[in-house]
Amino acid sequence: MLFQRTILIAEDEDDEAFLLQRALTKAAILNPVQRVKNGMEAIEYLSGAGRYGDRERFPVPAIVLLDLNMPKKSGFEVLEWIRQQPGLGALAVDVFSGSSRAEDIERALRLGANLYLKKPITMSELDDLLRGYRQVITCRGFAQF
Amino acid sequence: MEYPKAEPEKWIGTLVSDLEGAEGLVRGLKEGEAGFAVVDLLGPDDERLRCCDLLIVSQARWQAQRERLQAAPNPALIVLCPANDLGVIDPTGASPAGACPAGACGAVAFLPYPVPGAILALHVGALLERRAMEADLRYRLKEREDVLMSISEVFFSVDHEFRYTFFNEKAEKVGGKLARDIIGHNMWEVFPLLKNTKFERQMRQVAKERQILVEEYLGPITGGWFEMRIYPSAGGISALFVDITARKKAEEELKRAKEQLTEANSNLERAVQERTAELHSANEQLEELLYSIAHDLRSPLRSMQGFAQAFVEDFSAALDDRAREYAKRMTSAAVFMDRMLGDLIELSRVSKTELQLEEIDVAAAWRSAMAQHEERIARTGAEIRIAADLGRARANLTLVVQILANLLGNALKFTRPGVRPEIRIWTEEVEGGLLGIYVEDQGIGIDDRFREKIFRIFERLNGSDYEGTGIGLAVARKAAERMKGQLDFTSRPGVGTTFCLKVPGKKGGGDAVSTNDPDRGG
Repeated sequence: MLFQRTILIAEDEDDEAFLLQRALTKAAILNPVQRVKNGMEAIEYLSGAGRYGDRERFPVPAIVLLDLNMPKKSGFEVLEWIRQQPGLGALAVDVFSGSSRAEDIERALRLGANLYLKKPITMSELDDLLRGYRQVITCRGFAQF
Repeated sequence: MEYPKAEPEKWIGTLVSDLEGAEGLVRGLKEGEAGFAVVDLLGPDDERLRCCDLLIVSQARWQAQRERLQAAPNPALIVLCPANDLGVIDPTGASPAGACPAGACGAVAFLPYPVPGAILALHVGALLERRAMEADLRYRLKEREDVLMSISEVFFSVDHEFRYTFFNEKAEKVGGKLARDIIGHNMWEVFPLLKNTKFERQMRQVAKERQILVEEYLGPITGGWFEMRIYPSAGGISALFVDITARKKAEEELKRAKEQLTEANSNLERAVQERTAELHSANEQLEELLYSIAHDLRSPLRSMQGFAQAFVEDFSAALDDRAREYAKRMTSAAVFMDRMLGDLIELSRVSKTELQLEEIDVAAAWRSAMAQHEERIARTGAEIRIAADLGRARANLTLVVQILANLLGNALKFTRPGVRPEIRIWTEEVEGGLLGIYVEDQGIGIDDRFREKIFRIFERLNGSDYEGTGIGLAVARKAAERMKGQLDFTSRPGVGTTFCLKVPGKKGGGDAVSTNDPDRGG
């Protein structure tokens, strides 16, 4: 029996964050979800700054689902920062971005992203994608069923 | 005795003599040499003396009046000596007294008297001829001297000791000395300022080497340009100074004009380069903008579509078929818009990407394009005829495949209802080292009015009768242009269309392509 680990969604668009959470549920990825609205907040959350110091309310996540194109600090900057933190070595960072540019994908993987998921346009495609994604994180041993 | 009037031409041919019977002496001549008027003695009127051609005098008269006779400039002179004095006569004709009586022309002879008429006539003829020649020579020398004297350039001559032998009017003006004062004087003494100058060295160099020296120099005082020519001559050295200020000025102006032109050209070139760079940068910014707009629009689009779907799923029980149909249409509109945005991103990618041009096999590119439409080819039962030798192109494989796939896709798509698609591809070498790749279909064709329209972004001539975003040809043409190629077509509505992609390349060297054309047994 694995305990439920938190997934942190870093996504600036409320709608997209909402739909993603809904799709996660639909795909039976039932881990608790926390969401931050930009790169700066993501770093604050991960480093436990300010109110995020309350780890009861804001547990350290096992996975970050990271949008690349975000205000204040981009996903790339967050990724770079995470990989420089010795304490976050076990954190899986899965990029979830609208960009299909080869250079973006390459850069994200070079900076240490575990996965690069391209945001699909339709919900059914997203459902398919997340069903696959569930397999991945199951293998990682994070999810609880 | 009456003398003719003192008009020189009338006096030409006049023989003056003090000898008795002189008339008889020249009687024979009178007949042969027309125009001899014989006058007997020299009177006080020297006018005749100056104007006559031939003077025959006795030795006694010659000795008595030598001074007077010598002053006469022109005549040939025959001095007749008594026979008993012949012993002292120099057979060369020079004066026994040693003084040349003819100061002017030197045509003079001493003859014994009495002299046989034939001998005299012989001497008269010879002397007159010599006199004429000398007069002519004198005239020509004078003429040359006059020219040199009056030319508007400085000209002077010196002898081997650098003494002036000639100094023209312009030289007088410039040098501030008169010729008559300095002829025969050493030039370095006349103009001490010239001592130890480059000019002196040059003069001495010409004197020594006997080679013409030409040099252009800027006059230190007048500021004008001069061309100096120093010539060696038999008697010494001559120097000519030509004012070439006007020529120099013209040359300078020409040079300046050329420099200005060159500068203007390079300015223009720089301006063009700058403008090109600016345009390039503006273009890049636009393409970047296009990319980010297309990219950013996708996010709300995903939300619209997502919520439409969530709406149907979450409220399924409350919705009837019509509501579900509407939601489905929202979804498909979003999907279509997403494809358009994807194509825009593709267009910006084609515009932006650094291009690698390589030697590509057109047949292989066509195979890749066909592979992309495999399903459709099978579904429509299209017949595709591929010419044997498609050749090789210098292009980017990805882009060529993209273009050919687009053309093939259109050929498969814009078919006439009930007509099985027939597509032909072949190549021809066209002008400019380009390879024309032709893709022909038997489809609906394109009206010539829409010639340029079809290459515009999101231009769809056939509305929703045929699927597609209408950006394919815009991308294809852009891709062709990126490879220094062209994309165009010829078409007959209702008959078919032939697209032609021209890219650098030539026939031969390509792979053979298997074909599904049954006629060719492929």
